[in-house]
Amino acid sequence: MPSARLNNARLPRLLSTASLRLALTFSLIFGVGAALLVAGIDYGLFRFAEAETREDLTHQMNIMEGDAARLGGGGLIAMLEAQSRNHEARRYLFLVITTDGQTFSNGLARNAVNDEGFRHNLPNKPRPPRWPDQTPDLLVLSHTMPDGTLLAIGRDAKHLDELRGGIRTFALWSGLGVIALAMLAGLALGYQFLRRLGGMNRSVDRIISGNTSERLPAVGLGREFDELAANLNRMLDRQEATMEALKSVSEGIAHDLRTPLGRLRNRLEELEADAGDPARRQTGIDLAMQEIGQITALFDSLLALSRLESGQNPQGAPIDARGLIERVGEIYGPTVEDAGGTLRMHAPDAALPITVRGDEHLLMQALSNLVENAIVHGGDGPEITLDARQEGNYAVFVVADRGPGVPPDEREKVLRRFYRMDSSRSRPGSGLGLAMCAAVANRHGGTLTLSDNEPGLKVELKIPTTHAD
Amino acid sequence: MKVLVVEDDPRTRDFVAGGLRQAGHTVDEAESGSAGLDLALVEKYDALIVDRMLPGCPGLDLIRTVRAQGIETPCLMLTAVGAVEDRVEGLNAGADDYLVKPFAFSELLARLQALGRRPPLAQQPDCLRVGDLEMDPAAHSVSRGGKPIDLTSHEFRLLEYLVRRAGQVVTRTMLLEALWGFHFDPRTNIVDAHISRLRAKIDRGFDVELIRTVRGVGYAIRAPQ
Repeated sequence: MPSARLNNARLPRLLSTASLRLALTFSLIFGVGAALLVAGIDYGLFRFAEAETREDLTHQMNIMEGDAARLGGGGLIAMLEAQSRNHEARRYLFLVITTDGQTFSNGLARNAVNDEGFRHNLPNKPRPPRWPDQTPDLLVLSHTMPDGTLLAIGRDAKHLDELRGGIRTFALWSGLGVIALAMLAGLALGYQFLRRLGGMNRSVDRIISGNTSERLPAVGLGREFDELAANLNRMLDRQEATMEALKSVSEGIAHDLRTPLGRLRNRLEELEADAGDPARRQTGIDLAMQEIGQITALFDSLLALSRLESGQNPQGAPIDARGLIERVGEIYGPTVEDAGGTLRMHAPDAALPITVRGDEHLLMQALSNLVENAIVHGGDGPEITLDARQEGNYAVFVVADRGPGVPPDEREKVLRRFYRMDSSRSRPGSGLGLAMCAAVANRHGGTLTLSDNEPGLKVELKIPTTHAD
Repeated sequence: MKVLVVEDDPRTRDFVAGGLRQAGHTVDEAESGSAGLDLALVEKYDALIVDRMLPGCPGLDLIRTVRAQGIETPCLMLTAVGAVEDRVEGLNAGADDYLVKPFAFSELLARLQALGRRPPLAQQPDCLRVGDLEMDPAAHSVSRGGKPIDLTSHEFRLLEYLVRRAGQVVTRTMLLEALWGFHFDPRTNIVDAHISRLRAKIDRGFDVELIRTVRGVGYAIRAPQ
């Protein structure tokens, strides 16, 4: 079963899909982005904390300088010794060395201290030891008084390092988290995508294997994907319509060719029987020739029709609608009279010419087809009217009869190739005439409309006039 | 007439060449475009009948080459594709007429005769005469036995076409193409309807019928012998 195969294949396929690559790329970009962000925060915070510590130390040094100037080196030491039991003072480390060798230190070594200015003592160990037990990570500010007394004050910079460490740990974990999330999201998206594409692919498989009426499901991942599915479905609709048309045409050809071929065969058989009688033989030959003429005409019409339907819009010369109507009227007048009918023309006023642009041969053929239809199907003694009028940007050629007409539900169908109403099957015709007229209208950017002439059939061929463009 | 038939399908070639010989013409045959071209360039013919689709050298190329050599022999092109565009292409290449397969041999013969006897335009007389029928195209007047006949412009063109080919058979297809620009077969007998009206005006009341029907082929206007 294809679906089982697809399910089994999904996991490895997932790993090889574009969605996984996309997920990986996203994770990488997210990870790098997170790392950059954290590094920025880390640097900023550290700079801020260090600046704050330096400021604090500078402030304390000012106080100590004042004390040293007032009390002298010895006095300062005495005061510091007195204060060293105070808890507040334990935040700071002091080193005072007077010129006569008196020293105060609560843990600050001489080698950790400059003569003047800041010094940042970084611990040698990976993690700073807990202050005040051991020599910590220290930021030290020292100053040598004019009398030679060295003052130094230091402060544990452990909190800075802890901050950095914390930020780095956070960065590491959050970065990993982001990457993992991006991966998961990518895979989930990919899975969804594959599942829906899988549905589409199965539909396409079924369509290819002959189920031409099936349509693709909506993808449901977003408007664009649904539009894609809808577009593909429209394409399938068109293709199905084309296939249907092709099928009906093939059936039509087969059927319509069989009929005259069958008659031809009958004629030839009769001819064989009538071989002795010259007059009947001649009639038989003439009839057989007529059948062949019909078959040839059918092929000519089909060929002309397919050329019409595949062709470009004609870039013909301007054609006078009035002249066209008059010519058709002149050509068919005698034939209509012979059929016991009348052909009336309402050609437009010569003062108001209607000019269409197109292929004169094609328009002529379309109008001829319509008039012939009216002669053949317009009842006994057909009353045919031929008219051309301007309607907006269109020239409307009207061919109307007073015959039985075409019922409303058949009007669309009679425009199809080979479609013939039951009532007209016995009359001559290929079932291609109206299809050809519709194709001519189409090719000129116009329309062919059938309506009720009360009674009879009214056919309107609308062709854009030259002013339409 | 000496005619060259260039056609690759042997059955069509035999049919055409055989029919032409029976009708009293001298016929050369060529089964490929290149062979046909060699003959057309060397021999002198009264007419060429060339199939459009040929091995070696397509019919259109053959005619273009022949015309490029300054040879103005009338040429009738045979083809299986007969859309207006194809006809135009064929005529532009230098063919004088165009016949779509399948065709009746009588149609081919009528068209070939029309080609062979087509007089140069400059030599056409001002006044056309068939028997006691007189026709002046410039003045748009017709008379028979001195009696003027009133024709519509349509009927006049039909008569003129027949009179200019007096003695020749003119097929229905030729009339449809020449007079009405029809390149398709109408389902109704429009030609016959027009001819019968023309006959009513030309022949009614006269002892001799000028317009004759040629069974299964078309019409001809002929003066009595």
